[in-house]
Amino acid sequence: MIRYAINRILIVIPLLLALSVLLFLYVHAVPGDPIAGMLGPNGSPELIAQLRAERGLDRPLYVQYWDWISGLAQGDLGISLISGQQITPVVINRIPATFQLTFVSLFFTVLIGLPAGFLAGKYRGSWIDKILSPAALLGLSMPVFWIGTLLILILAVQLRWLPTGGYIPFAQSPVDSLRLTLMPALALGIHLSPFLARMVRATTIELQQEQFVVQARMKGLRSRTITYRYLLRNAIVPVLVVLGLQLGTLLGGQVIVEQLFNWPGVGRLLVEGAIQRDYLMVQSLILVVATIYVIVNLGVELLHAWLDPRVRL
Amino acid sequence: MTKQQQRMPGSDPLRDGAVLDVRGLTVEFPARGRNVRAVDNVSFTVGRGEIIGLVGESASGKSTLGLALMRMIPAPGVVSAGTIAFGGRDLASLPEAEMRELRGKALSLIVQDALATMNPVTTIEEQITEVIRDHGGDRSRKSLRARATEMLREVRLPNAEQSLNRYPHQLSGGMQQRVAIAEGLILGPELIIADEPTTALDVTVQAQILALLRDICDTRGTSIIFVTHDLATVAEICDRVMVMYAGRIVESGTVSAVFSKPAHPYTKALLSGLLPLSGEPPAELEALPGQPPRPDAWPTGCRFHPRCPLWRALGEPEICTTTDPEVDESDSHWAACHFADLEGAGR
Repeated sequence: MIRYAINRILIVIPLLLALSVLLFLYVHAVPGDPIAGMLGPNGSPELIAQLRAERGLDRPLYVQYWDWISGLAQGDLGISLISGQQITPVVINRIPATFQLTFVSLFFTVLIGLPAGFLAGKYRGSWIDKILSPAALLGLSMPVFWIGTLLILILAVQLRWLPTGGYIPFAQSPVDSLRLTLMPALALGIHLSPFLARMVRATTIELQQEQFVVQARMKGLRSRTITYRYLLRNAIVPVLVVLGLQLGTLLGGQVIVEQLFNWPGVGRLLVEGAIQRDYLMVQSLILVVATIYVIVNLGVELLHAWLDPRVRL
Repeated sequence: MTKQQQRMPGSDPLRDGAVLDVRGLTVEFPARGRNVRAVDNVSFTVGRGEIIGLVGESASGKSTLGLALMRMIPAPGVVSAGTIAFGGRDLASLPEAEMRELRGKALSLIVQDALATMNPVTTIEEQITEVIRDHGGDRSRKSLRARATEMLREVRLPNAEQSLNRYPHQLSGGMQQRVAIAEGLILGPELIIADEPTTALDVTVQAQILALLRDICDTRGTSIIFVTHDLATVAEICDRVMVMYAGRIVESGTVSAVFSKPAHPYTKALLSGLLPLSGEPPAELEALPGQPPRPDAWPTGCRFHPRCPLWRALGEPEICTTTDPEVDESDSHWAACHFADLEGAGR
């Protein structure tokens, strides 16, 4: 198990390096000059050239890349082209909010998706399945901004249970912080859980036909044992894999949800950076998000190996 | 070999007190608006400590019969008629909750592919001990582990103690089968239904597992219904043999009687090697033409008559196509053939 873990971790390093190269080239391939954009119509060619030289944008790309990547190795994400501020502290400032939203969203995804999918699969064709399966389809076809708007309309505007948006750091006031997290996280959870539920349903149906589940009944095991130790335990394995993959969707979906709920996370920072053509800001933020994604998936893989010993081979 | 032959002649299962007494067992599957009988009016008894071979081609109903005894016929199939007397109860009409308690405790089923029957994500220890726990056994982890170790030793699993911490896929095929047998035996069942338990194993391991099963019967007094298509295996470990064809038992008797004086033309064909029970029949096989019939199209009368060499040799008598052969199942050796005696005497 430990050897397996080390192997997986070693694979991550070249993966992230390759990703950084692609990302760098991609961002620089986007048309439009950030300096020209910043100065607007008043920017004379001389001024633009001067500012480009100041920001180091006139150097060859490989020098710029090396500059960026060696800074990254020391935890320095670079300097914003627009504001001239260090990016690292800005990102660190935003990360708690993003993590909090991600975590609570995943919690809602599992809370809704796992039981719904498991029950629908276990009692396939029953009334539970007949209600849950169309509901999942409905959920899959609702865009996340629409779910979010609906939640605001019902919970905030109509019922006045929750504020429409905003953010309070968890450390400052845990209860208020969680109250504010509830709606954006629920919107993301409702958006993501149908996919999970469908996966779990399909897995549960398959599992019930597996010979080892049939044999469990042959051995006269209690239905509780079969449900938890045979079905649920084996159904959780694909849940993990799906969750790891859905994290990508989640981080992308957050961009919209953070905007909608006025949530000061990394997603909003990314949107602002992209609008201003702030190369370094965008490429550094995407790399941070990608790194989170890779690390979480690594964690999922290790957890997967722990839960299903066959993976360790 | 000699052991069971010495033992057999005097042992009458009914006098010894049969462990299992099946009468008129019928299993039906609804198909295209009518009911198909996969097992049709089957009766037999199993004595204590006896190994009965149940032989037949694929789709003869032998595995379905095994599942019916466990009351595990996959839906929508049902046991539509008959009784299964076992331990003073009729399994055919027992409530499901009581049936569950008997499964794994009083009667166990061991199947061919042991790996596929084990939960891939739990250790051998958990698999064995959960059987004990779910049947109301003791719950102390230490004593459960000790019982599991002891059981694994009894099925001669090498490194029993260490194997408890392993996962099913980490064991070899023979070890997996030993673990499966240990799971089936842990609560000391009176009857084991072994459905081709050695087919997936190579020959030397096969012989070890067979010897183990024979030993278990002799030392524990457990009875085994050994479902197989391998006649050599039957000759090796069984006391009696039942030959199944098209959902019915066509011949039944002690191994020595059936193997030395087969009375049914089908049994004769099997024994003479004319019709291998698995794989492609040899091309020159003209004596026994055709495929085994399917449950939705059993032939009328004697179900074997379309393929029967004796029927053709006798000039295709009408009785074979119209009337089921009647048998006296209390005889120690019987065959469901109108001309069984004639055949038997002729050879």
